[in-house]
Amino acid sequence: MKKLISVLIIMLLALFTVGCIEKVDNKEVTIDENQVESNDVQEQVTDNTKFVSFKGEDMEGNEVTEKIFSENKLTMINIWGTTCPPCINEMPYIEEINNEMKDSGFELIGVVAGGKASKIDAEDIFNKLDLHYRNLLLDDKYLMALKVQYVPTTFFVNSEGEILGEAHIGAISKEEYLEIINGYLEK
Amino acid sequence: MANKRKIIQGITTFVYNFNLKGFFTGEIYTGKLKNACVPGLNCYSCPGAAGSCPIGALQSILGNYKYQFSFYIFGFLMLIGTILGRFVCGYLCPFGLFQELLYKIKSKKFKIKRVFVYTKYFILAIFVIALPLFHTNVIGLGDPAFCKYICPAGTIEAGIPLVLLNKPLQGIVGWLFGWKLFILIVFIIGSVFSFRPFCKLICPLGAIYSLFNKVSVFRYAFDEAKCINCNKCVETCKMDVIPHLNVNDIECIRCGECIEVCPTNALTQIVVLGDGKKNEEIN
Repeated sequence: MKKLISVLIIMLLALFTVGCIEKVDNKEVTIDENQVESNDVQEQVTDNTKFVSFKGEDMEGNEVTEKIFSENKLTMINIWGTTCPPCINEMPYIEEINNEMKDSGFELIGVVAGGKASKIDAEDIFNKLDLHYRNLLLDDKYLMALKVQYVPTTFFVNSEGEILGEAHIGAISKEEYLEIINGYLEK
Repeated sequence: MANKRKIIQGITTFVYNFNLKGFFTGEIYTGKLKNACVPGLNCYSCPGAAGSCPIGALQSILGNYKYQFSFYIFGFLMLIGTILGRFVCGYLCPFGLFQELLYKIKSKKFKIKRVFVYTKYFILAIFVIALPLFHTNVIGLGDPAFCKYICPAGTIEAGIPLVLLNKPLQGIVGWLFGWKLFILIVFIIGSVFSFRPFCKLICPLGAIYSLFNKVSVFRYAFDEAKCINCNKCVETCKMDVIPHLNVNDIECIRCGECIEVCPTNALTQIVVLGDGKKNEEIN
């Protein structure tokens, strides 16, 4: 009986701990944009993690490597899955972002999880949603090297191929993306 | 049999979740075994999970515009259902065990009115079938609504451990996590005061298996000639079944306590194959 009570107490404590983390992290989310900007300053000083060197192809079959990052000041890598509703829900408005920002040294590049095995589904979804940004078919080993466990996961990469800030897990709104993107472009 | 039950439930919980390193790394196992479902309610995204949850799998197939009907999952559920019925609930479900352990805490106990046990069929119809099938996005992909908005087994097995073990996830915890945590706490407290409230009220998997209780290979038999109307079985049953009226009731989870308490062996476990003329007693 005593054991049971102590087990329950431990479980409740665990729950409350999670509750606390939740509150703290909500705050972190709200100050995220400030952090992004302050990170920019630090990034010039500290070592940046390079985006993994990769070799894959886009949906038209053109070979693409990490050299693609040198084409723009900022590249947004949006890793998505063909069976992931939150990913697909954000794709129409990240397409809009790509169209609005492509003259500012910015490009959005999609990376579909599953690589070539997902090509038919990815094409189907791109056609249905009338999307035109570049989408890459990369072997999943690259995603594993990047420790991507969830979709959508979004990376921001500079022209040197260095990852800026932390990977964003989960879908966020168009406005939030724009704030992050403008933060990186303004520096 | 009933004494062995806790041990079997414990072993089941361990076997379903033997990817123990997941509990340290916070990464879920995604290998070949995940193609198979386990019979009980055990979240796919539990860091330890070695197999898939049939309710989760059912929703993700129904919610996918590419597939019309999940023959594999329906076949699996019908196979398990016709062999075991809600024996799965009594012996092979980690979330059932969890609730039963909470029920051991001494307190005043409350019964749940019979009419409310039918809510789980509503949950099955709406959240597991209708919403993933019809509430879809622009390309016809539906959310697994039961997993997303209700399942407390997912919260305790996957939501909480994954958020605790993965810093990036902590940043995106929001209202949905809070809501699911609230449901979990309601059922944790509820389980102390009432026997397996989630199983009685909500569980869509129990709802599916319950449909097979009367016809499953493994089921119970009642011999009216031996019954002395002592009512002990009714008093014992925590699932509020009245064994002498309906021995294979939809709510029976085959815990076997009525059989143990019956002084005249009027209640027995049977294995029925074929037309049921050759009943073999196994108790």
